[in-house]
Amino acid sequence: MNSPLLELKDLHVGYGAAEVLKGVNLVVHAGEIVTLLGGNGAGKTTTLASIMSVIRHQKGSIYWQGGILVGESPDRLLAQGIVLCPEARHIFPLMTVEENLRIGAYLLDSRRNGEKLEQVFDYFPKLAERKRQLGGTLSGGEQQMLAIGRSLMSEPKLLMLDEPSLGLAPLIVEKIFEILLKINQTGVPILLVEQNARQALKIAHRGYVMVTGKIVHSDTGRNLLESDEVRRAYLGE
Amino acid sequence: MLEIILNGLVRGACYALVALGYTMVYGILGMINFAHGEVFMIGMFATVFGIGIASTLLPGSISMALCLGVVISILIASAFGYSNERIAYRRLRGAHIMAPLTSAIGLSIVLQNFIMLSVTKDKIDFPQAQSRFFSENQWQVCAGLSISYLQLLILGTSLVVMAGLFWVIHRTSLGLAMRAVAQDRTMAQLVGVSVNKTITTTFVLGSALAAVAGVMVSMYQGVARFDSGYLMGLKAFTAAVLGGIGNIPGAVLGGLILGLTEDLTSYGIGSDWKNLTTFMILMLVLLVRPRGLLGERIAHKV
Amino acid sequence: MKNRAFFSTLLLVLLVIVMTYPFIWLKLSYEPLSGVLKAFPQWDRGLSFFRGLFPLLAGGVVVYFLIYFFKRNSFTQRKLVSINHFYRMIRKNNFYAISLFFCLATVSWIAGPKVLNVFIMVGIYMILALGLNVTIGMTGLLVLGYAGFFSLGGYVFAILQQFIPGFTWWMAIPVACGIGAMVGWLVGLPCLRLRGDYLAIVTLGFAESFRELVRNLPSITGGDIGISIHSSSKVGKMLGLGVISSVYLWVLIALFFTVMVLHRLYYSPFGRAWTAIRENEIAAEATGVPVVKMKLIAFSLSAAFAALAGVLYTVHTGFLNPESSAFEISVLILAMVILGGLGSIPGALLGSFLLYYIPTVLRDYIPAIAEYRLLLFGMIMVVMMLVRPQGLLGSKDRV
Repeated sequence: MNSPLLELKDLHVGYGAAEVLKGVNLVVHAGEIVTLLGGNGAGKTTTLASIMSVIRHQKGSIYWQGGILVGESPDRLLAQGIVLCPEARHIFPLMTVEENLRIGAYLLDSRRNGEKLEQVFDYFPKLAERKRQLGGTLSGGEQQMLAIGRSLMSEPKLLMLDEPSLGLAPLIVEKIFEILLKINQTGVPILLVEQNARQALKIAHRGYVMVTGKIVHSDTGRNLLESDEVRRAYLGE
Repeated sequence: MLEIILNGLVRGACYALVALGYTMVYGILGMINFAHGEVFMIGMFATVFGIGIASTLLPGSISMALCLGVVISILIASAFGYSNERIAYRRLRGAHIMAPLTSAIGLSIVLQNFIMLSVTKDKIDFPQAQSRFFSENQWQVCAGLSISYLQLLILGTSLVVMAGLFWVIHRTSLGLAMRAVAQDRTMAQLVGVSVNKTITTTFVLGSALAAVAGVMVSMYQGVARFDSGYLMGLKAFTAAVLGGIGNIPGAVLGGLILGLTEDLTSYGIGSDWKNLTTFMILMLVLLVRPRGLLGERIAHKV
Repeated sequence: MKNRAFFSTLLLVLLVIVMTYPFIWLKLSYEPLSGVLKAFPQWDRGLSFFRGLFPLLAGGVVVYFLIYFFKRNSFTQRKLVSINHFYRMIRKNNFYAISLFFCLATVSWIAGPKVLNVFIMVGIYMILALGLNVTIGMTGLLVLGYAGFFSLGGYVFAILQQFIPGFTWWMAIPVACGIGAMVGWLVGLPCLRLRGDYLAIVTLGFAESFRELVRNLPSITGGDIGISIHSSSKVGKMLGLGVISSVYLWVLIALFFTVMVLHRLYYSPFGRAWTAIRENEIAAEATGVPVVKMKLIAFSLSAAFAALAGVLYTVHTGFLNPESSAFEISVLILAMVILGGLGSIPGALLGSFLLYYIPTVLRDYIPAIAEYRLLLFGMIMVVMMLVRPQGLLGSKDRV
């Protein structure tokens, strides 16, 4: 296999005295969906934040397309195609849906916005209907779609999603995961952080299980789904 | 009567220009930029100095000196706005709201005393050579109503500037970035908006507007004093609150209402009572519409 | 990265030099014939400005190095902590409190009128700072026109003693406090349902309007000239002391009373409700704190203390004019609270001592910098916030 797209090697992150990540190793290859599972406080969100360099890591290194990332600002990473769709959606409440999408492409050439908007509206026809509505007036599911759409506008080479299923009805979660699969089929690799393990493992090629700052399991999605330990711990069986 | 309304509108337009600066900074940082009135005052002084500099460097042309003076005033006031943000506010961005506010009050004391000590304790005059054309000519609209060119200039300029601001905020990518930072700073950073740059730009833009107001008020009143900024700041801030702070059209509306109220009160009751009436109106508006006249309708999620 | 920070600081310094250049170095003059305004560089102007500024800058550098030095030895830290300890000790043991009171009271026998005058003013500002601390420090409500209530209290006394014969200052205290609290309630009512910023502007407007009202009713208030107090309404001599010593004693009593009441309140359910509102209004509401009512109580209480201070001030000076509700006074009190540390009672005391005592001493002993006093004051406010935003005695987690 050629060199991975993203690789974390022995990543340590702490907030003050509390160490949250205690040596995380993780790899994402081109074209994959990788899911990172774990309970509350396992360090999933911290992992994404340190990839995005919102938080500095103390030890270890992050490689992107073979090169090492050191102290790059979030907007530089964004320009290189690393896109984070954060937890709790963070829609701009007083902007219209269209403006919310357009700002996703803030750093990019605005002339291509038209076709990208079309593409997003293809995935999420609901958003097209509500183009002129304010972001804050959308329902939770629509906001999540908008958040994913906004990330797509940034032309991701790696799309990182933090709990897209948070607080959504199961039916909508299923729909969103279907679309994620579709997005992946166009060649966009996805790093998916989830608590909804069953759904995530269904679409993921590979998965990592994280417990208190360390990766304790990694396997293909199917194997993890069938592994007794994972079933017991995360699927409630 | 028409004349009084016209005077009120002119006064209101000046309030509105300064109120825009308050409202923009409040919208983006959630803080009252107390030193903004002082930036306006510096704009007034910078206009006079600018005209002096320009007519020394390019002797002869009076109108050219005025134009250059305006440009210098805008540049200096923007520089003040920029450095205020860099020095006194940027490091306090994450702190408790009381911290930047105190810093702003301190800064406004510093700026006021700086001008008092370095320039003069007394008033300085706006050069007559430059204002004569505007204040002596007038346009007879109909019987009983004539507008001086100066009033026309103030109304026209503020209209153009406000329209320009509205266009910047709603149609340009800078405006998009400003709104993004105002609504969700973390997410703005994640879509690649540079938060620092955007905030600085907001300060510079607001200060430039204050400078425009400074040019016009110093021309209109003919004088500037080191403490002119205080009352203007107070009025403009009241206007911003009246219209719904953080809301751009609200600031304009609030400014106009305030200006009209003051002139109508001066006419009807006496100019000694205009501050009191303004205050009463503010209280009334807050009682009836707690978020101001055009206050935001969507509550921010907690 | 470091290089970039250095260059941007350098650019900032250059920018500041350029933008202040015209104001400091240029002189405006009209050409005699054409009446055209010209501006010429004039070195004396700028030099005289910097000459005045120099002692300040030098003093600032010295203070900075002292702070830097002490910070490394954590000397000032310990000093500040020891002030807190001292305060706590006094609060815990009434015997200490009573002895402290008598110690301070003996000053009235020893000190001359000039010193007493300063001490009385410090005491009055301490009451004001403590009162403002209730809203801004404990409850987290920003009040920018606090001097309005101070002036209101003074005027209640001044006007009543003018129209009611035999009305003395101690009768004025309950009346003034009552009216102060009532007006506070009325002013607070429309805006306390809203976010804190609205209260800031409304109180500021109140102070300005009150000043205007006073100036516009000369027949009652004496207008711009002010109003003076009949000697029969002032403090009488007591314990064989002069008038000024007696005033000092009364101010001292009022100060101890204020500290006691506020301390009690702070550690009562009221205080806890206020703290809850300050920390998280929504959570406070959700746990059943009647937010609006508690805010109103805090606000009118603080207005009442301002009115008390207003009466004492008027008694002391025997004279009151509309400038007593000026914005400068509100800002001064605000600065005292913030410098001392938001929400801290010893902090408010320390802050008002420092900010009243030091400028007065500076003015008396180094008259050359009297003009530059306010400039220094503003700089201190900015630097203080940048270096220690929680104030001298405030705890970090409180802010």
